[in-house]
Amino acid sequence: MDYMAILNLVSKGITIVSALIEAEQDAEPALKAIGALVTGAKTGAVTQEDLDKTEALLDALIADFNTDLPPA
Amino acid sequence: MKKFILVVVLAVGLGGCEQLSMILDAVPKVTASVNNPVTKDMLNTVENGALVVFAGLKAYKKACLELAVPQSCRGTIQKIQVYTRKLTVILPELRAFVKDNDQVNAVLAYNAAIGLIADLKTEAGRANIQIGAK
Repeated sequence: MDYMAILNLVSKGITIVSALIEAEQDAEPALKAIGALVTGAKTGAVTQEDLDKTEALLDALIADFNTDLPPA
Repeated sequence: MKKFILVVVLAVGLGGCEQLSMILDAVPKVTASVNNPVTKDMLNTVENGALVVFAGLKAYKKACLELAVPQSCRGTIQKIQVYTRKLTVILPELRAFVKDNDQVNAVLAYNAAIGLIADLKTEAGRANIQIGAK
């Protein structure tokens, strides 16, 4: 487990979450991601259930971003 | 009014090269190899990093659609989408290889995903430089 990499990710994630909350935008997925990173680092063994939850959230966010922009 | 101002602050922040670059940095860059196989922990770290990235990109796209940032953001988003659409192909493959502990293919898919994110970041950087030059 690369704890420094996890710490670095959590730090960047908190910065992004802060910006999202300040702008009253949906910060929940990013918050859940940070929680999952901390939990994984603490236990040292990520379960398939943990992965499934993250993957479902990530897939939804990617699908949302990948939708075509409406005409300008 | 307060909400609008805050959204603009975020949007302008996200629209800047430094902020967009910061968001895209939230993904590990460590490559996998025979000596450094892809574990569920590594996959979890990459996917959570990507999740934070896409939460930021979603906010950037929203700000773009709300006309809160210069409309060159449309081109930036379309260029980034070239890479994020490829991720939708690689990620399910990577997950399956890790689940089956097929390390030969997992290492290839993992490195492809990391490389794709690096390319995506380069493209976003290029797009932002063009924005700054206008």
